[in-house]
Amino acid sequence: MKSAKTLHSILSIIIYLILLVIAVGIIMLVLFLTGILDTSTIFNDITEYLKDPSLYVFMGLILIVYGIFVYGLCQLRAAAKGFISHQFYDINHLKNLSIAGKCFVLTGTFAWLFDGLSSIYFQSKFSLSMNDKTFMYLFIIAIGLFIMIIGQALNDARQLKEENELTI
Amino acid sequence: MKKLKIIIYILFGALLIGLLVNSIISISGLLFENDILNVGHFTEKDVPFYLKIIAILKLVTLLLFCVGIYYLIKILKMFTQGLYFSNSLEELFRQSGRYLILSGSLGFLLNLTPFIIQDFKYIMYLNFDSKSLYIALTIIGLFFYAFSRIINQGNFLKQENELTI
Repeated sequence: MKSAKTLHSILSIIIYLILLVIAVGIIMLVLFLTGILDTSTIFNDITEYLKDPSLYVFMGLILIVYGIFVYGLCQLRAAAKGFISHQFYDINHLKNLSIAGKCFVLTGTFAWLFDGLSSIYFQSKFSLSMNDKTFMYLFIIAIGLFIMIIGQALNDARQLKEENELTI
Repeated sequence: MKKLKIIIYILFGALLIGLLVNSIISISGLLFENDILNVGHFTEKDVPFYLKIIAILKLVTLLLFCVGIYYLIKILKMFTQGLYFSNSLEELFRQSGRYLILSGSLGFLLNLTPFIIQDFKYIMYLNFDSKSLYIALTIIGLFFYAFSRIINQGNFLKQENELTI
């Protein structure tokens, strides 16, 4: 299963990259707040909002969304691991798929919502998310729903397999 | 299942319409030099030839994406009919995966071109901000490609089951 192995590797890289980006973001925020780094040298627009609590509320919400997304990716990676080891109908891998689908739907919906709200609040001076592309959100929601359906189909197959083994 | 199917149809429809509008803006700007976005880039000189080629390749990316989505919609139709395991479903998953991988990787490479060429003047017309979308496309394409193998095994199991009965 070359494709499953590639999928597993790409997912691992993306998960670690997202975690790295989040960690760097948090470290930079701490450096700005403690005054070690001067915000005006990097972001001019954000300086006037640094004392506004809404900034941290939106940051917290978007961090939660990214957390859900990473969790979804981890679940998809676990399912890919199952594909590699040929455990196609293992109940745990089916659960992984279902959870991944739900996580993607949640991510797409809430990231879109928080991105829109933060843009309105901060008058589109800057965006807190990685990318505010509407297509990305639409695609993530659609694929999340699709993965949920796939999980359902695989569950049906698992029942067939059990029935098959019982008959034999 | 039916409700989910309708939601997925609407989402894919909105996605395709959005991408189509984006492409129309890109093509009219870069191929026909019609400055719809009023960025004022078409007054001095013609758009470079390589950017026209990039615009055409972006259109190819969109077409590949549309074919991938077309196969996905066909898969959804089969799922709602309860046809979870058949040879055609396996083929549909493989084709959909293949087209999404192609579209995702080509789109991602095209997104990198302004950084290689160091020309950011027409960036608004080329929508070079959608790298994450193309990465997601490649991942999902790979997932579907891998999944076609599982459908194959499921199909075999089903046939065995029917023969036993």
